[in-house]
Amino acid sequence: MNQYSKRFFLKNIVVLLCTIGLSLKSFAAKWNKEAFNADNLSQSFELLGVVNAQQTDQIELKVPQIAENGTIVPIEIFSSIPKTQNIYILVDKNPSPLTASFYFSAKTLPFLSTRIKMRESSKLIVVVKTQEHKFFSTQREVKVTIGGCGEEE
Amino acid sequence: MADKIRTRVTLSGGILDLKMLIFHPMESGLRKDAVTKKLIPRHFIDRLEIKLNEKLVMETHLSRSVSRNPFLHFRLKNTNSGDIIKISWTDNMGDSGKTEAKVP
Repeated sequence: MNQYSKRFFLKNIVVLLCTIGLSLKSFAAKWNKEAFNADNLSQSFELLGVVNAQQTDQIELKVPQIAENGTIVPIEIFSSIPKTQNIYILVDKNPSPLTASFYFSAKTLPFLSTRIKMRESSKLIVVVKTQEHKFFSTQREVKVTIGGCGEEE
Repeated sequence: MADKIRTRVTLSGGILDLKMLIFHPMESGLRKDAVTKKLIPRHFIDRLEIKLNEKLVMETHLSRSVSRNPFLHFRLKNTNSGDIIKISWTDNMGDSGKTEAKVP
């Protein structure tokens, strides 16, 4: 083994070890700054890599039809789509539509409940990504009485 | 900030209900200070991790559109009494917090 190939070999080992270290530390991608800062729905979808999202009734979405206070909109999601890996929540008319993304493992049920902000009445979209990189979505119109972004609380 | 997470853990039929309330302003960057009338800078939790017995089982990315003092509810499978749940978060300004809970 000459000097060059030895160095090449060592470099590869280092890269490999780093990759293993990183993958143990986290299984999700890094915080997707571009997607979270996108200011319209189609851009958010593009930056998340969402393609051909199929409408489905296999995502159970519980959200109020009328949310009186846009600063606290309760939302509950359960996906019965096999091999659900990620769930994304998007609010069409928020300054940045992408609100949250969740990465599930074999140990977690594809279920979540949280509270989000909505600036105004809007379409709320939930997208599921499977382990096979297939996309499914469901949506609901939510009426907001008092908006939840810039207002003094 | 380490103590600013409240958790509730209940186990039934092997399914663990994990509820948490994190005390955090979750500033959107769009709200004005009532006194100075200046915009309050964005300040929000962006990552939250859940470990079950030191193994990462759930990763969550949040944004400024999650309500102030985020409430989150997840469900874990195949958990046993005595298992240790660890929750940790970081925000866009470099703050962080963590807590742990024992499955009853």
